[in-house]
Amino acid sequence: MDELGPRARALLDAAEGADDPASADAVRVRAAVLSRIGSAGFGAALFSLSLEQAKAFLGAAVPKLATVALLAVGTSALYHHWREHPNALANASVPAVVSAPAVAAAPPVAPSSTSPQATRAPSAEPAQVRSKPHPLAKALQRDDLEAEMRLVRAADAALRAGDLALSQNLLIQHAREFPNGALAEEREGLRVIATCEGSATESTRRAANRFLQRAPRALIAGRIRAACAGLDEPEN
Amino acid sequence: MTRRASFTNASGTHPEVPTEPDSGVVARTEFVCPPFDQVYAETFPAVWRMVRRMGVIDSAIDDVVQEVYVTVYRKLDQFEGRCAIKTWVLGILTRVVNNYRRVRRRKGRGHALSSVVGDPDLLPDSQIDPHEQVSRAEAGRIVHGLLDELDDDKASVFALAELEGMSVPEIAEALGTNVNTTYARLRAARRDFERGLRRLQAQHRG
Repeated sequence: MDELGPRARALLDAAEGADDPASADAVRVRAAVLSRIGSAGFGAALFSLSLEQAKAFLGAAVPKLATVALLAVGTSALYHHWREHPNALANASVPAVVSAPAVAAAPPVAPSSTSPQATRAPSAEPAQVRSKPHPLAKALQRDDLEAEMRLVRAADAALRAGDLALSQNLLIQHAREFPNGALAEEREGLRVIATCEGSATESTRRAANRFLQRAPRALIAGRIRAACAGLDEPEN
Repeated sequence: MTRRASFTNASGTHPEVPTEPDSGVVARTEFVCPPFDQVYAETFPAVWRMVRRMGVIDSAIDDVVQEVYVTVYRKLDQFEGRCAIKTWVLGILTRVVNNYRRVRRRKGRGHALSSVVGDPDLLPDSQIDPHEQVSRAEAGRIVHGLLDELDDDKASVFALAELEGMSVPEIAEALGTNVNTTYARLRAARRDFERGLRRLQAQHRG
């Protein structure tokens, strides 16, 4: 077979690594893919568990948690921030609206085994990297979406059955185990609904408004609007 | 998301074991599909590189890579382990990217070669360490420009063979084409790539 000439070969050699992704690329794209899968793939099936199934899932191992520590911003917001500020991962910390720790460049993706470029040095990462790995970088290494789905479905089933305490416990468990999980947005939405159904105070309405302003097209947005009365009232 | 544990041999393909030593009957052991996260981790670097090389503009790279993996997720149950998972994923990628290229051409967003490539005087001399003459990024842009001039089939074959190091049979499997056809496309792609490089050099020296 006709082989490439030395000049073309040298050009290809010189371009080695020019197209390698940064570790931040892998984390960012995965978050977006999981978000799309979560919206389109799971869809209605996400919230389709009975209360009995929820209780069976939870069993007797419901942890008694003293505090609720839900993150205010989920994966989608983080992803959109990265899309708008592609250099933020290496050059700056995540802005204050994102309640996640500073970002690091933890290489979460294994090199492909057959690529000749897999063994080469990765493309130059920006110099300013943080030592603490970002939660999403850790999440990338875990196959945890199914576990997330089970928790969120169970929480929703409990919520629909009126068992607010059980629902809150499941959401707390999800927040603890998957603070930046792919279904963080769904978790936060369910928490808002549970709060509204429990006591529709001004603070819960503000929480609902914040969620809807942040994620107006979330799968759960319609349910939040229905559950939380007075959403359109101006805030004082 | 979690699927049955992966069971592949060192090459990433599904092994075959003889059921009876003398019977000549070869049976496949039960194949179990790798979980999505494992597929993602193993293939993302190659997918990202290929999307960049195949002429996808920077602002669309994320979207195209996402499209590849959403398709991978939806079709993962159909993967039967007849080839390496990377081969299977790159086959999906090729279809997604070629569709993108077609749409881009229809919309008239193709780039002129001269607008894509850099200063030809910076092209590497094969006798000298290319890193002393040309930056990696500059070389990458030149390669992108030359690949952009190839038609979809040739660009795919060339990038998979020359940049991802895949064998022709693997490429044929990924693209769903005949091996002989793939060999022919690779030969033609190499000729076109060389021709484009010579033309580029001539333009900038003239």
